[in-house]
Amino acid sequence: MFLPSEIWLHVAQYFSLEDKAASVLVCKSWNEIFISELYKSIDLRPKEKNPKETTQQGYTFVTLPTNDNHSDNDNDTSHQLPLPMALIRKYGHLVRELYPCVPCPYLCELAPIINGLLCLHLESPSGKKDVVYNSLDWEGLSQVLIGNPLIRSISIRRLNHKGAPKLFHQVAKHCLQLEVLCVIFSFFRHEDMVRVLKKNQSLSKFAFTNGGWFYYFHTPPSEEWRESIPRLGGLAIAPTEDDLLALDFDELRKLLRTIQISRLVIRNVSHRDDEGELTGILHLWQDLTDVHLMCSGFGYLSINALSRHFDHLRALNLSGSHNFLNWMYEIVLAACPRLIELHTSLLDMDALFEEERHEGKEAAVVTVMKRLQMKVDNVSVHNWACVGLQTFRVASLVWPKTAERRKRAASHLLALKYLKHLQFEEVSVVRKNSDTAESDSQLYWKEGDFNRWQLEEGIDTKWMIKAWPNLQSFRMMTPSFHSVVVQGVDN
Amino acid sequence: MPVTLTSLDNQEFKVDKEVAERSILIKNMIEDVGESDAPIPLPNVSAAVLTKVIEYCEHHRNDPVQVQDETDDPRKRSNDIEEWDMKFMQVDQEMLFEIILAANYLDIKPLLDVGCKTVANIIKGKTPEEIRKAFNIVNDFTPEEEAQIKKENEWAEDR
Repeated sequence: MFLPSEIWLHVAQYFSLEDKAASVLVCKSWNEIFISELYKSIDLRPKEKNPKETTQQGYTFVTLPTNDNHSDNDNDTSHQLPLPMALIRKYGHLVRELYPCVPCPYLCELAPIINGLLCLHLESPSGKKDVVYNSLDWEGLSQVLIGNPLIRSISIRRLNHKGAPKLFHQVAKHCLQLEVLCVIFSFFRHEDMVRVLKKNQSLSKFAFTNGGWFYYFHTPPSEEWRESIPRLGGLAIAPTEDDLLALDFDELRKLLRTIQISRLVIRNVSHRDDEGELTGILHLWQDLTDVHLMCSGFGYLSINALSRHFDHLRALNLSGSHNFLNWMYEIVLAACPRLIELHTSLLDMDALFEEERHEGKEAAVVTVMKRLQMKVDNVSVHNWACVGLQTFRVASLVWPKTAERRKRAASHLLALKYLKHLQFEEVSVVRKNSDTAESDSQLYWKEGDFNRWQLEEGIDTKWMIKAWPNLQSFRMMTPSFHSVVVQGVDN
Repeated sequence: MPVTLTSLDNQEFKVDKEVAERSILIKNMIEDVGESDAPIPLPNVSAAVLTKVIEYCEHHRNDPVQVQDETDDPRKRSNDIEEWDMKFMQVDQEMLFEIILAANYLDIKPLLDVGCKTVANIIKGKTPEEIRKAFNIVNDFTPEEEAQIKKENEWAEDR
């Protein structure tokens, strides 16, 4: 009794690399099915320094190393390829997805072998931008692109280097089947961009991040642009602080009326009119029918703004708004009857726990989230105080950027232990924005409150185990924070 | 308005249209044919399996239509199966495979996903030998072939 191979491949998408490696050893027919899976996605980036794993009562706690003591080895360009060259020669044609290591001395040699590539992801590890891009093998990357004119997805982020425009020129010159292109827009020369849009008729997702706005609204979009944009299913615009001032919603509305897209993402929209209202973006909401519109970074969202009716709004990202109170969710839901997707980082844990104490309720957070979940299909919470990881598609606990918020986060972490019945599968604290966070967090930690307070309050993994019996792993990547978590887990 | 489905072994099942339309195949059939009392033949699905599939569709009749996940994270998880689904999938292996095949044929994506996740969970974390045991597979590699593959796999194991 066996399943056809296409179903086995469906099963394999849930496998880890180890599972794939085990599968090819099972028997000849499994080897045939799974070998392509094993080599499908190749990550050539240097390994993270071995995470320290400790276990207790069957729970695994993973501590990821901090950058605190990173040595000069990180700058070492002579590290070894994780995948031996002989294997790349043998199986390189199976590779569909590549995360090139940066720097990658073998890229030129690899390029002709990995000729079935569909996705290229290049992302610099945070905090090491300069190191990475100064030694990046632009020629090799160009060769990879030349060898794979049918590549479908290119995602190059946090790229900020003089070599970039040249690489994008190669993209414009060679790529014919792009569906997804996610790059820093300002590095595209205008003529290259138009060329990409003309040649890649299947390009449906195009995100341009920081810098895009500036380019866009200081030179009116050309006719060529207008012709090409409707093919893009969605558009993402994330202006930087400076560009925000030049944000011209009337211009954007005019443009959006002439094109048809199904999804629009606008970040950092704290732009307001003379009366302090978010008129521009609110008009956009009302204008766009059948568009998934995601906005974030509102600054202060006023009740006045929220209590209008947004019949068409399908998706909303509330993250980045201050002064948002838990009960306002009711208003949002009432105002947006067609909302099917809600992203938020706004859950006032203070208020929730206050309420809980006063009214003897247990975990009001859960109640709020359940209510949201009932009405909105896809709720995702990105918050250091996230709850209900299993029920709500919450993947990350984002470590706050400012010291002030981190202090609050620390107290909330303590508060979370009251949520005993919640079942966490994985809690990740991902350090965001390490460039700026590092220094002031160190300042904060040096003040010592957390470590000491942690000891006094007895915050160690023991209570976590008690609080979340189903907790399987707890990852922390914040500086200093890891020691807090790992203490007390020694067997 | 109920719909009648006929299984491979000619058993008839009356189900609500809404329930039957969890299957995209049936939904399209109904749309193509229009309102009709004629039973819909499902020659690839036995009565036993169809009973299970209908049970699943009944339970999930009010689920919202799945939105395409547009997150950038390509990593798929198999440990997010709902409790009810988990219980539902506690069947012998043959039935599990039959349900997956039926879900594939009937085009019920959430059921196909949950089935594949269940199979993945059986495999995950196991050694090749344990996998063979779990699925009753005979190792047809020569020791040399096996050693060769093991050697080639080294890169994947310490990642």
